[in-house]
Amino acid sequence: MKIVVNGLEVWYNSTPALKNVSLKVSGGEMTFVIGPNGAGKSTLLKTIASIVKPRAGVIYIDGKLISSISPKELGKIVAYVEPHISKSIPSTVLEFLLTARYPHHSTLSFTTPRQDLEAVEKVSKQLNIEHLLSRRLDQLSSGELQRVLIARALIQNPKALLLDEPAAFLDLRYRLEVLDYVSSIVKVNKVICIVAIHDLYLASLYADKIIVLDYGEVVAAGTPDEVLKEELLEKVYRVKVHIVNINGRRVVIPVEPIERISL
Amino acid sequence: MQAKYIAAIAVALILGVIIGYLPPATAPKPTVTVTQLGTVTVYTTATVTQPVTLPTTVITTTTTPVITTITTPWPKTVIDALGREIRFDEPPKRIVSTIPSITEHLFVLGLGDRVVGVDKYSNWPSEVARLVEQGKIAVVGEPWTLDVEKVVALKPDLVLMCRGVKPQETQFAPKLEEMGVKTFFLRCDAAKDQYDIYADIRTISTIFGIEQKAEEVINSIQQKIDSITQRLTNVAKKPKVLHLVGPPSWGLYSTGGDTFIHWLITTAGGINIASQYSGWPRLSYEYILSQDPEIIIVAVHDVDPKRIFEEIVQTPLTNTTAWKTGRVYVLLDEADDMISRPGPRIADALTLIAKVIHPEVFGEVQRSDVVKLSSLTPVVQIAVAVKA
Amino acid sequence: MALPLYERNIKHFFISLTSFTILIVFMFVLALSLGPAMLSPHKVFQAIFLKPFGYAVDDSVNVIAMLRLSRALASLLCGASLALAGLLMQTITRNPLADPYIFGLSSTALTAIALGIILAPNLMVHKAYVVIVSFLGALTGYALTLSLSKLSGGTSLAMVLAGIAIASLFSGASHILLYVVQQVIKTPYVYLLMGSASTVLLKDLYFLAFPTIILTILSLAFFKPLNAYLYGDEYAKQLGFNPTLVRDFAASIAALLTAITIAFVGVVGFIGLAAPHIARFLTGSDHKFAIPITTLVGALLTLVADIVVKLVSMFAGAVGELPLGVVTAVIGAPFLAYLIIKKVRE
Repeated sequence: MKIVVNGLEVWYNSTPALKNVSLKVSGGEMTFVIGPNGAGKSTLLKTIASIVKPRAGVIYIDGKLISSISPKELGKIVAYVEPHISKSIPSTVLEFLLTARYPHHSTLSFTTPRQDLEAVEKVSKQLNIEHLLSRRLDQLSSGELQRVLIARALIQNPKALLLDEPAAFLDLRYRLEVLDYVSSIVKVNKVICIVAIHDLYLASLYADKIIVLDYGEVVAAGTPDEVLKEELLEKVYRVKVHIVNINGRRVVIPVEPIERISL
Repeated sequence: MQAKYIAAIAVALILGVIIGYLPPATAPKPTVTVTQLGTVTVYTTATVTQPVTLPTTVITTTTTPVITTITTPWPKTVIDALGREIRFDEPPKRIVSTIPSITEHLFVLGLGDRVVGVDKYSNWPSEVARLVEQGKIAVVGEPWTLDVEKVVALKPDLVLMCRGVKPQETQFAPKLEEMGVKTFFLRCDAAKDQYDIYADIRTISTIFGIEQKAEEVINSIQQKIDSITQRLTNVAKKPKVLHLVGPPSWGLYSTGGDTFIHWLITTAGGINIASQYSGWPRLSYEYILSQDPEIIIVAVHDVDPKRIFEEIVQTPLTNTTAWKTGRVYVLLDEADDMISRPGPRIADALTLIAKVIHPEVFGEVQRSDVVKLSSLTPVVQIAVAVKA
Repeated sequence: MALPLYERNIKHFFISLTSFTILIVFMFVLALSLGPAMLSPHKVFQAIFLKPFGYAVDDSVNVIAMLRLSRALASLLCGASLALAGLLMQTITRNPLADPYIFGLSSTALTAIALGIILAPNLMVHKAYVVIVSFLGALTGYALTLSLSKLSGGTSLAMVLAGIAIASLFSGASHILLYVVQQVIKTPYVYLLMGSASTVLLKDLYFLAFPTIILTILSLAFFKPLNAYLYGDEYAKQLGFNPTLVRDFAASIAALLTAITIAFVGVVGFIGLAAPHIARFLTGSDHKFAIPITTLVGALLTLVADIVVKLVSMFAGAVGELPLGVVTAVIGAPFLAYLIIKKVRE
């Protein structure tokens, strides 16, 4: 399982969002995309999930051009976890989670197979959202909703998992638990996993590979040891950082902004 | 717990209904205030209108001369149909009429030379059309979409308007008043019988100080009405009549028991099958069939009666006695105007309806704008063949 | 947990399905027994159910029986169509306040009829033409809304805004035209499109029944894209459904259903807004369950409303046949209020 991105260029109307992005991601490893606000992290994930159409460049999944894969087939392969879903029409968590199985069935089939429900059962137990199944989406807390969204992607059982800000709204326990769980699934099932995240600490804990984006361009890519360097992060984020070694991992600790906002 | 909510909802609904009924109940009733002002000539007619409650066959001509003796000198105050006191220092000289029936009143009362503006639909007497063509009378829009600027530009000293049956019909008055134009409301469309129309005529005559002329007009109308009702006294059989507003495909709207057309039908010796309703009720085919009208009157403008025939053939109205005996009448254009305008032509309208309802007494209608659907001979025979 | 929960949903669905079906059958029988003709219900049922098997029925009874049958069926079908159209509109706009007329179909249809009566009164005498003109008018409204929303980006918000623009434009236009129409038909303020099932005849029912049944089955078949669409355009996209396609498809079905009811019955408010909510309260928002229950709720509400219309015109005097939409609101609103309160307390 492999995703190859080559010379990707994405524009929103007249604004460039990604410029000449090339990268390779393989199954079984956690790839973290970091970078400041507006660097193009979400756009990169959305383009790989085929939600946004690139202006130039190609994306291959296992050697197959992504634009040649039917949307339905792609739904089986790629799952993108967006931070927002519409909750205006009231619907329960169970109803939402069951929709994740749709790519695996014919559009016109009418029954809900037992294994769908079992998949929902299993994942919701593991993510500790079982008690939420009968609740309405708009009654969940942000953290609960975040876990439901991640559960949805896992129920979809994709070969490539694209997580956009999975740690947002989660408390300390669930940040670690959820990412730990995702990373063990990735390791066991040899799934591709790309995570866009702001929390450099989590990136240094779980990343096998880190890609740094700035102004829509890849400024660095490689293992955490190669990428998490003080001068690079200070240049990209405009923040002074310390890098400390904990349990053999380079952990980033932000200290203070380089430019202070004057009163 | 749940019973509590149901009770709450019920209370809310009842409150809503009560609130809904309050405004009309508390609204000022012009007629009540009028009776308190006994000195005003217009409404002393109220005493005369008492015979309304009596059978229409009563001859009322003898009571009318009482009124003619009352004349008030200028300046005078007249109360209009909204209950407003309007002061006149002298007879108005430039009048705008906003509805055809008022135009008709003005011309019948011989005030035609003072009319400077009329609404688009005023077409009787034919003099009006001629004067409009010559540019002596301006057209100021339609009754419900009056061109206020045009009215003001004519510099009228009186705009006569119709109180009507809906509050929005009075919407232009405040605007005109604000621009210094005097408005005066008559009952017209709210008229329920000839006495309401007489009251309008008398009100107009008071404004202009021509009470004598008004009594002449009213007398001649009443004489015509009396001659019809007298000929009907010996007629025992009253046929059931259905009046339809437009062809059945436009929603089966009819006229209820508190309308002018109902008065026409009843006075002409018929029974209005929609009399239990008020205003312009919508009927259902089942109701019509259960009442089984013997005469159907369809009133409509600008429509080819043949089309109405073709349409009725498609409907369950073919099961009525009226259709089976060939007594479906279409009243077009001027005939439609006559029966729908509570103006000075009510006696003519009554004659027309009487001929429709009792041809055995008054003879068949001979007008080009009244079509008996069975007289569309070729079509009828085909239809009869199909039915047989 | 997931399994028992899902089974509970299915149980709720079947309970609602049976209870609504029973209620509808009961109300249908009631609707056939009631009418201003005051026939014995016995005779009416003989005419409807025994006549096809050669039972001799008096001709006049037969006419009344057929009128009642067509009227009851018309309210059932109209209610079902409007409720389904409302559900689809709420889904595609993701707006719980959407109703079938949100795209301005009623005002364009009214404008078309008013124009027709002014320009060609002779044609408009025929009911067939009235029906065709209002149907085409409603579809024109939909086409205008759709193209306007495409021009402004094609999102669901653009659709709602385009609908509002078209609706207000044409409701203004139709009101101006109605003043002119009053010269042709002398009734003051005739509302040509006030909903009423009483003028629907048996032969019109085919045009109501077949589209309603076919389009209901069609939308039920596509419950998956509709479910996915609920959670957002991007969400639907990554499950492999084209959100634009889903939106246009569902909007077309809803517009078609609405246009048909406008043409034959007129404008009936509230059903399209309330029935989907009532159905969702009972079975959840999964379209697989919500679509059948919504149609049943709509059919039941409209049928009951029509019975009330009949009773009012028979016994309450004065008013004649009330517009259906007024009565549906009076009947449906307390029920909806009860459900909301019950749900909040849970």
